[in-house]
Amino acid sequence: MKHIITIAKNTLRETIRDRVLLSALFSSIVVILVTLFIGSISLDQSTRIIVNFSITAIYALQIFVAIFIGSMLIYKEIERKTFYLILPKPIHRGAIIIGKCLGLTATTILVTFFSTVVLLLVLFIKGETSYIGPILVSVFYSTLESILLILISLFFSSVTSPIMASVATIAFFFIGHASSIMQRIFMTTESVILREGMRVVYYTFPNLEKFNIRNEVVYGALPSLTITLTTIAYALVYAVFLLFITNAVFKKKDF
Amino acid sequence: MYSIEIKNVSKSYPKDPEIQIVKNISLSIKHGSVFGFIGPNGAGKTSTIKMLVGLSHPTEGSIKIDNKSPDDPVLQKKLGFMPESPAFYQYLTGYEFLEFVASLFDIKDTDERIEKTLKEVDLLHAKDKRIRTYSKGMLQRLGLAQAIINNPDILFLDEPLDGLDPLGRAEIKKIILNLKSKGTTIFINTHILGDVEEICDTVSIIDKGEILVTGSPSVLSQGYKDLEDAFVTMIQNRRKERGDILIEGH
Ligand SMILES: Nc1ncnc2c1ncn2[C@@H]1O[C@H](COP(=O)(O)OP(=O)(O)OP(=O)(O)O)[C@@H](O)[C@H]1O
Ligand SMILES: [Mg+2]
Repeated sequence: MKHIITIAKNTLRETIRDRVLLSALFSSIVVILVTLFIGSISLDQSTRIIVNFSITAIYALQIFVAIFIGSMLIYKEIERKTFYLILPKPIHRGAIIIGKCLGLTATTILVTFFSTVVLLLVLFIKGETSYIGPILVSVFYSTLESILLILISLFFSSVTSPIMASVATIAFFFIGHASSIMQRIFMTTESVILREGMRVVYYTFPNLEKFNIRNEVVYGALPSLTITLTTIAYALVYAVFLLFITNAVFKKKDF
Repeated sequence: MYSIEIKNVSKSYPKDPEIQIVKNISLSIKHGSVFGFIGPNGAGKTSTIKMLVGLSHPTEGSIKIDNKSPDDPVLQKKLGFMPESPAFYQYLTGYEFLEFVASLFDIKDTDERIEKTLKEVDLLHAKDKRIRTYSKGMLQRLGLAQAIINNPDILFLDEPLDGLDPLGRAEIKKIILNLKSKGTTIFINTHILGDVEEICDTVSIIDKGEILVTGSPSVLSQGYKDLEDAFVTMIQNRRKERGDILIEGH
C-alpha cells in the first residue's frame, strides 16, 4: 500500500511539473471566462447555454488529461528506460499500475478543482447561484468517466506506443458514447449478426453515456441518489476489470 | 555456497524467435565474490543482466539468486542494480530521486542514508539540482547511488565505469572494492579489461551469446601476453570455428 502511494505521489509530481498539463488547464479556464464574458454581453444568450458550455470545457480538459497524458505515462518509462531503475526494486508490478492510475486521477481531480472553482466563482459574482449544485453533480459524473478513460489509456500505453494508445483510447471513447444509441438502432434490424454483434459491443465496452448528465443538469434535473449510486458501482466494477487485465499484461512483460 | 545460479539459460526476443541472443549459459557465482562478465558489443551481457534482475525472463532454463526467483520482492530488497547509461526522471532532483527509491526499499532513516550514499559517490554538492542538468559522470554516480542505498548483499552493475574520466573511474573502483571487502557479491558487465584484473575474482568471456571460458583473470591470461590478448584471441578463434568473417589485421 505504501508503495502504491509512493508511485502515485511521483506520478502526480511528474504530471504537474509537465507544461502540457498547465497549458491545458489554462486553456480550459480561458474558454470558461470567454464564454461567460460573451454570455454577459449578448443578452439573448441564456445562462443555461453558458453553463452547459463551461462544464463541457471542464469535461474536455478531463478527457484530454486521461487520453493524452495517460497514454504517455507508461510508454515514457519504457522508452526512456526509467523502468530499469524501478522494476528491480522490491515492488509488485501491480502496485506500479495502481499507483500510476491513482496519481493521474489525483492530477485530474486537481485540474478539475481549479477550473470548477473559477466557473463557480464567476457565477457567484454574477449572482447565478442556482447552478452551483447541478454543476458539482455533473462534474462528479464526468470525473468518474475520466477515471475509466485513464485506466483504458494506461492499458493501451502498456502494450503499444503513445500514438496508437491515444488512437485506441479515442476509439474506445467514441464507441463507449455511441454504443447505447447504436444498440437501440440495431435492435430493430432484421440481421441477427448485426443485432448480436451490437449486443457484444454494448456489453464489452463501457457505456460512457451513463456519465453524461450535462444537458439534464442545466434544466435542474438532478439524477436520483439510486441512479448515482448505480453509476458509481458501474464505474467501480469496470475499473476493477480494467486494472485486472492491465496488471495481467504488465506482469508478464519483458523490458 | 553459491549466490547466483544460472542453469542452461537461453533468451530470444519475440521479434526474432529463431535467434538466440543468449545461448544455453550456465554459471555459479560464489557468495561474496566479484564476477566479471566480459564480452564485445552485442555479446548478450545486458540481456543476461536484465534476466538476473527480473526485468525480463529466460526463454529456457532457470535463474536462482539466493534460492529465489529474480522477481521475488523479498530478494529484491537486498539486491542492487545499476543499468548501463541509467535514465532518471528528469523533473526530479538527485535527492528527490533517492528519496523515491528509499521509500520503495522501505528505508527508515531516509535522510541520513541518502546523505551518506551521496557522500560516498561524491554527489552531495549537486543533490538539489534537477537531474536534467547532470553531466554524464554525475548520472553514472547517481546510478550507483540508487543501487547501493539499500546496502545490498548482491549488486549488479552494467558497465559502471562507462563515461567516467580516469579520476571518476578510480573513485568508483574504490567504492566497488570497498563493497567487496564488506562481503557483497558483485556481478559486473564490462569490456574494459584493465579494470577486470583489478576488481574481479572470476570472469567469463561471452561472445554472440555463448560463454567461451570461465576462470580467474590470472589463469585465463596464462599462455597469452595479458588478459586483453587472451580475450581477443579466444573470441577470434571461436569466430573462426563458427566460420564468421574476421576483420583483417587482428
Ligand atoms: N529487446 C530486444 N529485442 C531484440 N533484440 C535485442 C533486444 N535487446 C537486445 N537485443 C539484441 O541482443 C544482442 C545482445 O545485446 P546486449 O545489449 O545484451 O549486448 P551487450 O553485450 O550488453 O553489448 P554492449 O557491450 O554493447 O552493451 C544484440 O544483438 C541486440 O541487438
Ligand atoms: Mg550492454
